[in-house]
Amino acid sequence: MNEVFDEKKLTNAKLFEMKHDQDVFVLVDKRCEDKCPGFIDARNRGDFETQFALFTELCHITIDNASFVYFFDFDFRFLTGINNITPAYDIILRQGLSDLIYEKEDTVFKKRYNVTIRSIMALAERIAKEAEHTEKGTFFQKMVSEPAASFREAVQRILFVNQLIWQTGSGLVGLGRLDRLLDDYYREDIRAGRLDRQGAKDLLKEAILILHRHVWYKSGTLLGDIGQAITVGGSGYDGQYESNDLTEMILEIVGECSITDPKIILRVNTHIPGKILEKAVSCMATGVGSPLLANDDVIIPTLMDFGISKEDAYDYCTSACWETLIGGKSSSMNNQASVSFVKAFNSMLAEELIYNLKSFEDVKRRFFFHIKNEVDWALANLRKQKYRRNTVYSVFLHNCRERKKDIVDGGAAYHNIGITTVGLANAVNSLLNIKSLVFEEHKYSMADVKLICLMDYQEKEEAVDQLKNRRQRYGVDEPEVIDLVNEILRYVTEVTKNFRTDIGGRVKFGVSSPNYIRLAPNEKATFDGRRRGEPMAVHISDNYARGYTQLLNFGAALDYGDNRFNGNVIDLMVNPSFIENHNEKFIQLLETGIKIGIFELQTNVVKSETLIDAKAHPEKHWGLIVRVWGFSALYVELPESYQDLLIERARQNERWAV
Amino acid sequence: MEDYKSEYEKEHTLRLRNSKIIDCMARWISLKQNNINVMDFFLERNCRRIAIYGASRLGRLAYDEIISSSQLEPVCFFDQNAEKINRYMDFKASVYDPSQYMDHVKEFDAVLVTPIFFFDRIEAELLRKKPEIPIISFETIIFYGEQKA
Repeated sequence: MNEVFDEKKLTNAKLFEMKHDQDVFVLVDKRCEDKCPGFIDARNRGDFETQFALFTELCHITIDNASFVYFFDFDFRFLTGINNITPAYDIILRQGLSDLIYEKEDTVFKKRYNVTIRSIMALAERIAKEAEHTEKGTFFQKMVSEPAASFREAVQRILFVNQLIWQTGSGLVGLGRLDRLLDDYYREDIRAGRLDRQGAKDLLKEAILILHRHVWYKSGTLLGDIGQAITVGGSGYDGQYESNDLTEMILEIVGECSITDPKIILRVNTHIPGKILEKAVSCMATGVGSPLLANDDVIIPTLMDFGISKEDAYDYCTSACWETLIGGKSSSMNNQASVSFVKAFNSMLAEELIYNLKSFEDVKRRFFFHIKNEVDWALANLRKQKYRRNTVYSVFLHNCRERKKDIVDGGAAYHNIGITTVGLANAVNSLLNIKSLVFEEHKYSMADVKLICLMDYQEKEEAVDQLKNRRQRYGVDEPEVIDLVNEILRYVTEVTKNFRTDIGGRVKFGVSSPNYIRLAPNEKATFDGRRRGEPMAVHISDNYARGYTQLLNFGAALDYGDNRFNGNVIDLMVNPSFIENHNEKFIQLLETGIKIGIFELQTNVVKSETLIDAKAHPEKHWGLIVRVWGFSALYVELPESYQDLLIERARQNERWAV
Repeated sequence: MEDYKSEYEKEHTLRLRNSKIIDCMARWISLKQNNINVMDFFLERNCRRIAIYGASRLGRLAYDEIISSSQLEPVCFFDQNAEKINRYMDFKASVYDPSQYMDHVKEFDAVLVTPIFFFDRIEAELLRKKPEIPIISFETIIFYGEQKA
């Protein structure tokens, strides 16, 4: 079974490479056809339910000595394209599968829905039979008709749904607010004396380690880009901070296990208890890149302004990296297109008649015109996108059953769409440099700017350093800079606000993007010292900052209103010795950030020396974890361009940090 | 062997060049069938007087397209074979050698480059002479049209 992808014989990197190899697809599909005639045919017809029924009937079930059942059969390759969302795990916790079946099958959706439920029940029964006379077997037997009755059983059900969604081709499957989902079961087991804290922690740790397996299979664009976000903590309706024993437990586990994924999103607000932040910083200090802090005080009001109900806004989690999402109720895919401000800036330089750019206002006006072009292009592509059904997702997402609609037809409560933007810092810095150097100091003409950028600083080498570290730049807490950034962000809202998808979804966007390296090679130089092909700036960051406070002030001053909430992460490079020697100061810094209104924050706790040595001697640093965009990965498994960027950013940070 | 290799490389380059032109033409036809005028690209950028770089088939078709727009004016051609063209062909507009670019640069607002395969080289050459003037690849305006489609 699963011979092509033999995890015992091949490395994650090799398996990940094979996963994207067309020849391997052919081989896997051929094996599938031999094992399960009709599966590929059903896939070609877009008949998800037949594929799924065949899978549940014929897949290979793997049951090992672990406390939980969780397996994949790699011979069955589903294609759906629905990614980045978090199922409603509570659906399977509070009832048995049979309770979900429609009595009357009078619509196509109901028929498809019932076929899918029956297939899931058939698989649960097969697993129960395979694991007969064990507790695991009992869990699967009960799953058909009863709600979950214990902490372990609840965890098993969550794992089962998670496994089904990954298996059926959907990626970046979030885990939602796990501390809240499991709290009742945990407390009931503790009260009844069936479990103690350590026992629960051991079970949860095992589940998290199980989710961490199959890294190659679950990874998206890069090895490690898995998106199993666990959201913990958060505000209650009264504004107070709500957490429980499991919140702390999850923070402890991820820190102790030193794993790249699952990752934690810690919801924070001004009332967060010091001990939770201390635990968060301890976890960050291990270098795992978790948790990412998401500030409820900013995010919740923004979500409500956008039209999300109060109940749902208070229950938000994130999908994949940092994009806010109403877990279990939203089919909003949050990373469907990327708009490059660098491309807009370069198009302006290349395509405009320089004589028409007589003032900074002219430059800005034409830059906005090119932003609009970029946005229009991204939206036009979104309009054309169609997704293949994954009815398993429709089963495990609220509202689809009530509305009798698949998620691809708008069954979920929210079905907006998210785009990311990249290169804002480069574009803003270029504009600021044009303003001061061209129109105020008259050191360059616009023709010089164009020549420098399009000719990649040829014969103008000295300009690179001059332009890189100007006093006024993105990340600096100065009104002129902040006003310019906010003006650009509000303009993007202006050109996206009337867009609607086929099913009525709106567009949201944010300033964090995974594409700062992927989109860079084709982009010409910018007037901020960035050469052709060099990576664009990472999220909300400033390589030349002289302290964290200024960057936090800057991040807090940006306007995240309207539809601008699709991920806005301050990305800090932190020297491990800084946290070690100034732990309290670092916690205070985070508290201040939350208070002044940052949106999100993530850290990379690592020093350049370690990264350089790891690049030269990967065998010595196999377990070194770094935060990449919104995920963590093993440093030695990253492409060289990502390794180099991290080294450069760590070096810049160490110039001032101690 | 070396000759063979060089011949092969030449032919390979020629094939690539032709396939790029064919692709561009096909995309242009498709846009025309959808009534999309790619030359609006220039109007949106306030460039009305257009010079065309390359007087081959694609360049001449571009000339016809520009002249059909009442708001645009095709000013002249630049072509490395200007002398031959002027000697043997009855052409619709003046054809200049690229070395004469600076003599005429005040007459146009933008240059449309039709030898798309060599765009980077041509762009660099013309930008060095006069960076103020936009140098636009024919592919860029096709892409613009596709955005509008």
